[in-house]
Amino acid sequence: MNQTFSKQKIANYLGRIELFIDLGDIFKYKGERKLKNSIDKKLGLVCIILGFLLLVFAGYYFLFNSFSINNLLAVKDFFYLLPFLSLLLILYGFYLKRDKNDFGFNTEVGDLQNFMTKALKGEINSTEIDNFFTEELEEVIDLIYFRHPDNFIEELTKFVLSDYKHIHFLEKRLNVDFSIFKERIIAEVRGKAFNVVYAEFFLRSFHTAVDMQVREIDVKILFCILCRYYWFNTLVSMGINPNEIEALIYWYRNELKEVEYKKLWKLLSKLKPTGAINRAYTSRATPILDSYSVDYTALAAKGKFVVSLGKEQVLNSMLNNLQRIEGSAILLIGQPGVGKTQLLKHLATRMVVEDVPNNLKDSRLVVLDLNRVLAKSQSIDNFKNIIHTILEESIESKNIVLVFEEIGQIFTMREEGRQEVINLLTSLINDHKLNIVATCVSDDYYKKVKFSRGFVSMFEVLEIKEPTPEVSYQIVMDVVPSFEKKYGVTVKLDAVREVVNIAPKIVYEKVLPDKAIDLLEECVIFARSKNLQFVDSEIIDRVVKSKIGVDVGNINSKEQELLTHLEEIMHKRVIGQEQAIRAVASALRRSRSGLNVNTKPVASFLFYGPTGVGKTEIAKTLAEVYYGNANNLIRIDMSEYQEESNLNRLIGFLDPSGNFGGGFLTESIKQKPFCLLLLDELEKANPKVLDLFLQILDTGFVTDGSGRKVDFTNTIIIATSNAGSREIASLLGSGLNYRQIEQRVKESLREVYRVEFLNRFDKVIMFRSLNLAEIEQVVQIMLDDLNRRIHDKGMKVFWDDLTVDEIVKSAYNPVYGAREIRRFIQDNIEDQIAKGVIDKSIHSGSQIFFKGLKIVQVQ
Amino acid sequence: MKEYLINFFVWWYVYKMSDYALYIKHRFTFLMIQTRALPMLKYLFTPLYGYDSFTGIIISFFIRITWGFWGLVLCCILVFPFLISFFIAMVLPLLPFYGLVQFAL
Repeated sequence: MNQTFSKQKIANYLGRIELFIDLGDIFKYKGERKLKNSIDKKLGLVCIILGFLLLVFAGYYFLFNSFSINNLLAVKDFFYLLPFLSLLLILYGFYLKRDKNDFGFNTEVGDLQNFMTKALKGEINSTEIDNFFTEELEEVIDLIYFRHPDNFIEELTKFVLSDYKHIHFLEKRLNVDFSIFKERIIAEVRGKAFNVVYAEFFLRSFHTAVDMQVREIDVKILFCILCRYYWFNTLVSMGINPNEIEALIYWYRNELKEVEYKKLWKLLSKLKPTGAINRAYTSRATPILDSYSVDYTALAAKGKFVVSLGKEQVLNSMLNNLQRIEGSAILLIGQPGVGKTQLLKHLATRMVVEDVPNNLKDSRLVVLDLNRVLAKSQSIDNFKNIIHTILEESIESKNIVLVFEEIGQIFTMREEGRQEVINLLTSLINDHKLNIVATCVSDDYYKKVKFSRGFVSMFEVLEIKEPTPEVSYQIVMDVVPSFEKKYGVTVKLDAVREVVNIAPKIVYEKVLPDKAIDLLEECVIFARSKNLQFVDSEIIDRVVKSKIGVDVGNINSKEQELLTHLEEIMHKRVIGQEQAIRAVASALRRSRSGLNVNTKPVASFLFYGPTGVGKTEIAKTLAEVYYGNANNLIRIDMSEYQEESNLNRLIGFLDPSGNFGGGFLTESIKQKPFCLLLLDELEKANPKVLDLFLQILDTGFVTDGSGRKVDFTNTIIIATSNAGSREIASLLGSGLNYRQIEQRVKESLREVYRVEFLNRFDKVIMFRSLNLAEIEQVVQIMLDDLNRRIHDKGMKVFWDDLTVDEIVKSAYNPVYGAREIRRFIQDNIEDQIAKGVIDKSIHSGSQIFFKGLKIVQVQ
Repeated sequence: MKEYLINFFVWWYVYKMSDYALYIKHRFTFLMIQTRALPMLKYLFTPLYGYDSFTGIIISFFIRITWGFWGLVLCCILVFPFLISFFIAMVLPLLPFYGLVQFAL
């Protein structure tokens, strides 16, 4: 192949950096770069061995012949030349065997991080991408291009997948059949020729390396480029979504970064004092502070903390503040579990590896345990004295960053003591004598701390918001290695995705990432108890199902069956009402297939029509069939909420002393987020109460009385109403069909409910009165139900057509529908059986035969 | 020619030796911090344990300078073998040529 290769412009990166690729450099040895390197290495080894052999030989010679140093300084004899030649061979051998990444054919590999820093400052505006390639990567590109120019990406893929490290990483993290996976990937990348893809390939490699903040572009980056761009469709087809592919790449990066960080920690932690005195001995001992606090830097120096790469942004703004020469004060606010303590631990680790501003390098991060101080103080004066001593010690020590965890506790103290402690802290912060970091739960901050304006104005307030699912992914990934080490179970990528997705739906007390981490740990422990090697999404779903009793994971075969035949299953319990059942079943299928909007309830229906026609029965059936248990139905009788003031009973309220009284609706949903919410007799509710449901139907959440969001996106909402029932009854006899009646009745429905409210429901469904044939079926179902109930007692009831006819004739009422039938069966059938049981004519094992409404025989 | 002859010397003197010099420097600094000699010399006029008085400063100054001096001596002793080896390494690639020239003459 007699081609000439030249330097070519690839792109204008970020609009200001001209990127070139020097193919001449990469293909300098025309496909033999790898061979050449291998020969050099072997030759180097031969030279070294030969050199040592010569040295031994010379030594042997000098042992038996008189050795003179003068002869060595003025070499006249050939044998005295041997040590010099052996030295030359050994040195040259090491030269040939050298690591060519450090000193290659051209120069050493450039530092991409340094380059980008300079380029972004405008100091450099062009580069050759291959300057950042490692020798190994250039060997691979050179070899593959000259052997398979038309199948460049395919061969790269085969090379990457032949490396144990990459296979191990993929097998460990992806929950896929690796042999099928490999086959599909190779099929996807087949036939991509170098001449077609090279510009795009080199640009992508540069972009990925910049994105991953690495210093050089090596085979590991090649793996990431392939994952991100060339294996994309296969990964997606195997159920891994694009976000997960990015997460997979970042996970790989984090694993590399953590190794780097640990190396640094191993070296620098030796320099970190673990006691109270700093390296320069300028600080003083702090005995009182030490007895009431935990030294996070000392713990980090002992290797107690994990590195968390997910919250770098907040940490950097904290460090900007802390690098003031004079004291500074930071108040970190956030929900419990948002990662305030984790952030402090990460800061301590960075202080140990000296990845902090200079003034913090020899400092200690000391966390004061206010609870311990409060517990050991006999009086408020004693408490103030301890706090005063602690603060004095901290100031005199001059190397302390003092952390007050949960500073809101001070605001719960008695008035006189509280004010003095606050004044003390305020004056110290004002005098810039001390570096203080305080943490506070958001609720405490907004309810108590914020009103002390003088105190709050001293602090730079940093709010740590609940991270997005993408950031939570990364934070959870950071803790996975510690779980894997602790429990000996591997965690797959889909398990991380599943915990991050599911945890917010089932845990309300905490926020992300804490609730996801807790759930993951629970699942890892579960997997270990079952002797499983790994945790995947299926294990997560199993644990979640055991916790909440509802299957929230992917559709399994049993559920697939249920969803396909949902109408038939429901018709076994509900007679007639085909339109309603069809609408409900379709909505559920949409929801479980993932096609619905995630910001609304699973489904919402308004059932209206006469009483006793199956509205409530459909809701009950659905709760039982779909959520697996009739207990997953929350029924609210809306006639109890006729006043505006009743709203508080639904969403809760804060009393004047700041205590929260939970509302029935919000607390029920917090406990059972996966449930069916049945709103009975909706027309009787106050319009303000209806406005509340309008919001829930629209946005999928409501804010409770304490200001916390309650999620309804996993709830099915069914409202029932008797509005329009008289009109339906009167129109039924007029010969109009269902659609025509529905059109007419809808008009009258708009008089009861506002149009925007009706429009929020997925479907407003009219229930018609049951005809006699349907009522007969209802009677049969109710008698079957009676048999089910007495089955445990070993009894069985038999009836004939006359029984059914008489029940229908006596109990059917067009106004009350089937409602009277149950009562009638109780009064006329069950009562007779009960009497028989009491007078012992009916006992366990009896078969009771009815003819009409009378018992004719008991066997 | 360039790759197999000139680059050998470039590799040894520009890359290996600078790398080794940097290693010795890091080792020296590390030892200076580990023995606390460097912080002692850096904070020569800062009192020990925060005793911020004239007497404190004077006493601290003497303690610090003594500590710093002996720390420096200790570090020098510990780094000395590396310095010797550095100078030996500087002449190593030239020795064979010296031998060859002597032999030829």
